[in-house]
Amino acid sequence: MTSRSVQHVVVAGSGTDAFLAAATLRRLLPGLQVTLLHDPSAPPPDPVGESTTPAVLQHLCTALGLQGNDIHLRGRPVWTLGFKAQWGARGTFFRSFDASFANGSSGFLAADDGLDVSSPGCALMAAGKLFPRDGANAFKPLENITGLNFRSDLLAGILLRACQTLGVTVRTGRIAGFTREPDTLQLEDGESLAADVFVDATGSEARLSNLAGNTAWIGYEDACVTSRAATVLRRRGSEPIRPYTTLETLATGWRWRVEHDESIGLGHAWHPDFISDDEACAELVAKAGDPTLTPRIHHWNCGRRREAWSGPVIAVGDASGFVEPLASLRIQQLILHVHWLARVLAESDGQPGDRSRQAYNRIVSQAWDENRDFHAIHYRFNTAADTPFWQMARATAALSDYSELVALYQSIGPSSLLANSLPTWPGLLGIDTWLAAMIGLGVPFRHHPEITAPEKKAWESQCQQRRQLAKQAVPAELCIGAARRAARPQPRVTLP
Amino acid sequence: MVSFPENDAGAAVPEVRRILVLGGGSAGLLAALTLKRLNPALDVQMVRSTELGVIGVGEGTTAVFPAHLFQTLGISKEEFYREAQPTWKQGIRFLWGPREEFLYDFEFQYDRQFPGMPKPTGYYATGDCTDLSQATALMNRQKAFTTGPLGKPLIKGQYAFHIENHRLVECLEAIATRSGVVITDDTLDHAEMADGQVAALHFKSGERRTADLYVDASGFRAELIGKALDEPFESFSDALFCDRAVIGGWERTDEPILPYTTAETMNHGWCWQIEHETFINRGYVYSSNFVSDDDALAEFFEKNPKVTTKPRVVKFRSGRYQRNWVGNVVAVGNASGFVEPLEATALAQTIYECRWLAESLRVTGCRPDETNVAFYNRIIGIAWDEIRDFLAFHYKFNNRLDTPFWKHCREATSLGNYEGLYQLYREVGPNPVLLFHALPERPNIYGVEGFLAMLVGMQVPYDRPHDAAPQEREMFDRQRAQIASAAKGGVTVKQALDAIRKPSWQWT
Repeated sequence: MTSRSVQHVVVAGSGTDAFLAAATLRRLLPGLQVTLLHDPSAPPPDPVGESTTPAVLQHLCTALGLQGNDIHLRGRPVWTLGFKAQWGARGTFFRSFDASFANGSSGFLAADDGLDVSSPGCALMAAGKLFPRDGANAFKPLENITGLNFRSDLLAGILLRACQTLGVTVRTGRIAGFTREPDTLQLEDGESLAADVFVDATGSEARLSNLAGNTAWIGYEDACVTSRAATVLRRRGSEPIRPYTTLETLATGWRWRVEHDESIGLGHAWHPDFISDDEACAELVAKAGDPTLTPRIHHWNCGRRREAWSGPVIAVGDASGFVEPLASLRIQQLILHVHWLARVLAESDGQPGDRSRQAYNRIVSQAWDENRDFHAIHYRFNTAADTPFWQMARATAALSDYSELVALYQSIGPSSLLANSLPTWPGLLGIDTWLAAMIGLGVPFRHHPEITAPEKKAWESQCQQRRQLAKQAVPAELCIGAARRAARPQPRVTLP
Repeated sequence: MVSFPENDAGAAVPEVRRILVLGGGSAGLLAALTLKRLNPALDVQMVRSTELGVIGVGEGTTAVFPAHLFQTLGISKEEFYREAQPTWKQGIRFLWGPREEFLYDFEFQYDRQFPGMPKPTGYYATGDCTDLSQATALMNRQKAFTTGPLGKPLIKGQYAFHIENHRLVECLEAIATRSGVVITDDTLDHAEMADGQVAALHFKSGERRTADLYVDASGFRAELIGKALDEPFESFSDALFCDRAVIGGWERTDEPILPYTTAETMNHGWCWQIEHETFINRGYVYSSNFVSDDDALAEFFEKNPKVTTKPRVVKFRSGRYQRNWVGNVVAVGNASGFVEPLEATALAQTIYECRWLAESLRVTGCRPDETNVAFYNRIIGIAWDEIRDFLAFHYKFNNRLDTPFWKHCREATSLGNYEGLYQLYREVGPNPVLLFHALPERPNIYGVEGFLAMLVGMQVPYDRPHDAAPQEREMFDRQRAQIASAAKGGVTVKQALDAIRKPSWQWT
């Protein structure tokens, strides 16, 4: 495309992707006219919901300017500190969002002993608690280290409201076609929408990108090994809310569990060569313990568009690519897309040329490929089961850009040197997340440094402190109840 | 639980306990010192030949050098200043491109945005590009450092040195010996090979010496990496066309000691000026395809009438060995690769190599395996290629002269892996945020800053210059004036040298 000034953006799509993209572009680029084109008759999102990472909460607050009220009262989310994974050589491990292993010997120490209390987040998860107590009747909401679990309809509601408040022009309609020169979107109602650029946030259908001829795709079959999933939402009953997302190794795939306040989302991912759809669904329903539930089946096409931004159309979120929900990165990935799009538009004074577009595509592709490799290590190093599916998964899962990082880890372990091997900086995940996953998975390494007695002692004492903090901490139900009752959940919330 | 057979591979790697460094120039000494000081349990011996000459050119360093010596190696500043007698430089002054001159420092001029300004600094530097950093403001006024309490120079920040080679070598030798490096005088006769590895080194004295790891610091001769192992040499000839230098100088009389190295455009190359305390060293780097040695000498004399020493001509080839760590041999310094000293990269690259070697040994308990060696070779290789491309920018955009040499440079120089960065610059201008993502590799050394300093310094055009409103411009100039005012009260190199030689001076 030529360098003409971008003044009007149309964001097309009917779910979280589109609403978040429209609201973010509008707020980050106040001079930009943003039109959201959504189709209210689009199929509703999967009620099972999804978990997210701390970056998402930060985005909602800082980039979109949402307040605790907007989020907690309307979105009714549940906080999550990370993951409990029945996975890898340890059988089970916790991975918290505040893992910090990139400096000193902490990674080596945690790999040997005390991984469960290697960070406040891990210690809290291991104790089944959410936030530390603060005085007799209050807790500290450590929202910088938590993600949020959302039910998709509620999250979409918050974001659509944000669009309206921020001055996004909201228009309903269905896309019928797309024509170039002038770039125009045709709608089924016979009208058309012209704009300078179009954001395709239509989810994995990628309707707009496909209409515009941007179909080149790079598959991740050799990294994301499962291709189908079934999901159900079951009632919670009296079961306590877990402060983490659960990942379980199954004989023919894996299962995830996302906590909501009154319900629990369950998903089962598998590969069709190893189990039939019916068997997998039956297994999931049995696990949910409610034979009346009907699972929703998903066909996954893991991979990414070769170029997210092609001509006047930019695919974001699921329209740009997809990987399995093994690391809860879906919305973080979307945020990265929208942020960089806003950034490129801002830095180029609204006149992004071909090179800026290529820079954007490079950043987005690298983030997808990092996510891909992150999933690959979860298959390659899951030795928790030795079934035919997992034998295939371990043999299939291949690393691309991060192969040096992983090979180096297998040699020298969680050394501070590893950060030099990250192909991008800071990347989607950052070195701490990579290290936390490899330590958690129990990826073996050959060289163990000698750790001095004082270092060991200091580590043990820190572990003890974190254990103590977790022991006295507050369970999720109390924190969530307090946050919803309090007008302003920050910075301190009084217990009921 | 399933085990990974691939992971048992490293178990058989033998431990490195004894290291033999071949060569006693600055590279060999830095290698021996770094290895010994960072891994004191290692047995490090160095064999150097007094028969073989050294290039012995005065050295300019980058800011990596003092940091490595004083922080990483813990060498005493008192001793180093006393023995090596360095002078300070804050960067390089380029008589280069369409401007009369521009400055490159070791701080940040262009990878920054002044507080409150809508754009990064480069967008405002199309005309006047001075006083964008403390270091360049000092250089601009021929000052070495700002003045601290009691009128003393504040010797900190990203400064570097000019050092005379023989002083540096003597000083490092003494420190190395004291650190436990065993130094022997001998000349290599040949390397004894077995299974593609070095089995022993035979010396003219008849001595046969063995080690677990051999560091090839034999300079251009590359005795082990090149001659014994026959590792392929990757030429940089599509980016760097110079292959000779004529070197000379004169005793300083009343010239001020400048706080920078000067790089001046010449008809068929360029000329450095290195500021030693009592001596000024100049070297004309040229391409023998475009000028004869005699004509180069004539131009050198014409532009440097004060030269009193008999100039010598040095031949060189730019490039690097494909791998610098092969089996039990690691090449460092000129044995690993060479480029002309346009950015004073030689010692910095040597230190980079030594540091990574020492780290590779440290994190593996001195049992580096294939993975570590491959990692080392990758990052040293990309560091060399980054230097090549960085220097290529100097040639590609220097439109100061229209001689056949410079015309050829502008037409034929390849920007290598950084072509993409240049293309993005053409479109968006000096925007560090976007350009950062066009850097081809990690880790990198010069970052966006180095390349922007050249592009902005040589006024390389881009599509949409920023039209700053008068008020915006005024705000920008106010920030520059602030930086300048701190530099105005600074001290010169001479004053700083006097200050550190007072008995009352204390290093912190």
